[in-house]
Amino acid sequence: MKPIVSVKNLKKYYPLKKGLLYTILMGEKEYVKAVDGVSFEIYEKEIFVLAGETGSGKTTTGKVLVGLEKPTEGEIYFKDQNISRLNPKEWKRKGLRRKIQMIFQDPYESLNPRSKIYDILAEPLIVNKAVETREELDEKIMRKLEEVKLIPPDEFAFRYPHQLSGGQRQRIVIARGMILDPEFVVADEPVSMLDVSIRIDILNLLNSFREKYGVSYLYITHDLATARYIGDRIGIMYLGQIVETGPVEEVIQNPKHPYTQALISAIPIPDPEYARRKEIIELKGEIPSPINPPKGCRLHPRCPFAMDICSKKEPPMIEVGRGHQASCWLYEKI
Amino acid sequence: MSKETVLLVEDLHTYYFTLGGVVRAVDGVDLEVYRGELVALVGESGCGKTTLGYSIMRLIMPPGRIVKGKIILDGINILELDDEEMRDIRWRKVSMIFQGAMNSLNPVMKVGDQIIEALLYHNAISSVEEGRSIVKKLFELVNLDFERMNSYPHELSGGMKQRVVIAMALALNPDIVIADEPTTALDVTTQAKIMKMINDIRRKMGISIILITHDLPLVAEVADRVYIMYAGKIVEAADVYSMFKEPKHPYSQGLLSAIPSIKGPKRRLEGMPGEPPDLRKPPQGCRFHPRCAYVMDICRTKEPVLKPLASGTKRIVSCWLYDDSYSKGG
Repeated sequence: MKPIVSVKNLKKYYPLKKGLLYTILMGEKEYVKAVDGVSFEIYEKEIFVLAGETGSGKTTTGKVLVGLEKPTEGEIYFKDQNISRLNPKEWKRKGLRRKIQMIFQDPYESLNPRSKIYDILAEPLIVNKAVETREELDEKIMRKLEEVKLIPPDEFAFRYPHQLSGGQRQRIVIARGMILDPEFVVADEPVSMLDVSIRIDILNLLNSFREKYGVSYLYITHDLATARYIGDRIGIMYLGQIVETGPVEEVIQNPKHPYTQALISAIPIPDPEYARRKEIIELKGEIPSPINPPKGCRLHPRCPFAMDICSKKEPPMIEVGRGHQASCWLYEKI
Repeated sequence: MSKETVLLVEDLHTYYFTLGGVVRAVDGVDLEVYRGELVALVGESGCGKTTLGYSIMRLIMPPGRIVKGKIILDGINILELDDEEMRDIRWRKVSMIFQGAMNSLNPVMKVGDQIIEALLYHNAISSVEEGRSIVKKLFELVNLDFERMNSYPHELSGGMKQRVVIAMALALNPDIVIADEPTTALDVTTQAKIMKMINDIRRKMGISIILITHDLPLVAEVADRVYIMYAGKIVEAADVYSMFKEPKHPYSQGLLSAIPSIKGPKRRLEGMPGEPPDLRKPPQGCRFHPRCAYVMDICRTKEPVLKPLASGTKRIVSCWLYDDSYSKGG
């Protein structure tokens, strides 16, 4: 099976704003290394999860993938096309805007409050010349509203976003993301702002587009419980890098990297008896700054298993199971 | 061992009198908190849980008003106190960790000074020196280096700011701390550390905690008892084990079956149909009936009463399914 998206050694650095004098004196610029050498592949009809805590670089990776940010280094392939250096015009000319879409986190901020739902959904169709007649436009909009379960669609089409609940708004955000029938969608924390009782429906909805149209997803989240629910494979990010990757169930039930182990041990389990028995693996201190990440393995100053080599040499990705890799010296075969 | 009640809320009604109508945010709530226990108050956005917390602090501002009920704290009905008397009790007997408080710290004042200022305001100390020694003790309690008292908020991480806020809530040795979503903005590893710390402090100081949250897995980890709130009312209360093992109210059942977990079998979950009601015009009868899978005729017309599941038990539920008087009579 061929990947629909493949990312190779992706880096995104943001220059730190410093005064001119500082730059002259210090001689070099400093950078926030938001994403620092990330590689992964996403296959057709697959949901690949990027999970990590605040500042791990997961959202930046997603933004680079949809062309909202330019990579500093590295390559991104969509099918066989290298899309990493394309400018916005080329994105549009090659039809990538239609094929690659993004669903944002906050349904309150990502919809124009002055536009009716109909206009919000019509805009991408018109801008991308995806419809020829008014009838076609109407039909597409009503069908998408139905697909996101806003039924009857004509009752929702002429409302404004503020007249809808959070869950309904997120359905509109999804309808807009899906209206051009994309092949690949980046969904950045699509349920984290929603109440518990509606999260599952939104996840099931995303899944239905995969099943019906074969959409592939990059699902970005900090919540491993939803990642397990919807994802196929996962990459765990720490300080701009993927430290462990593999099938979701395998990584969650059998984590190998000390960071993944700590992360998973901290996740509350909705079972009081189990929850009170489980042990939490604590990492020392707090996540270091991405401006000067630690040398060697980035986790070593916090890692309970740190060895000599960890502070000196960055560990490679090591095979720890079927399709399961971790970047940790503990697993190097001598 | 008999349990000592520190807080008793009876038939509390807190309404907001807005131009668009009366919002019945808290509409007849009963709640009891024992000394030293951690009670979780669970519900979705807009169910009234934060308003209930503010009511217990008596911090409801117009257009909101406590219309009816009793809030008995250490034997005193605080709704009968005047503002001056209430100011003496607030923070001393009951304090609150407000939602997002870590982002409301004064950005141009050192965090230690902010705590000392609060202590001075409450006449809890007679000198700044005395304040420093209290801050030192508080910082020890919340695992912060004493030097951090000279930091400004922007120099601290989210987890450290939350520790400062917790230290503030504990400054006057309260009996009860209301913690409103104290860890929602934090990463899960930080959340685990903060919750463990809150729990350690509770045991050490014997204080009671009301944890307001929508995060059920977190509740399973830390709570002793759970109250589930829906549309301004408590629909069910039970000890944490019974609640997660065998929720009785259809709303509790729906909530608990809609949460994905990293453990246990992987299966397809279903959300709850519909949306919570507009609290300006809540549905007649049981407020959950439009979304309930077990709805009966009576649910549409008559409101169920919160009462014990069986006589002598602490499990209470407000649902006609469990009401003998209805099933026997009807």
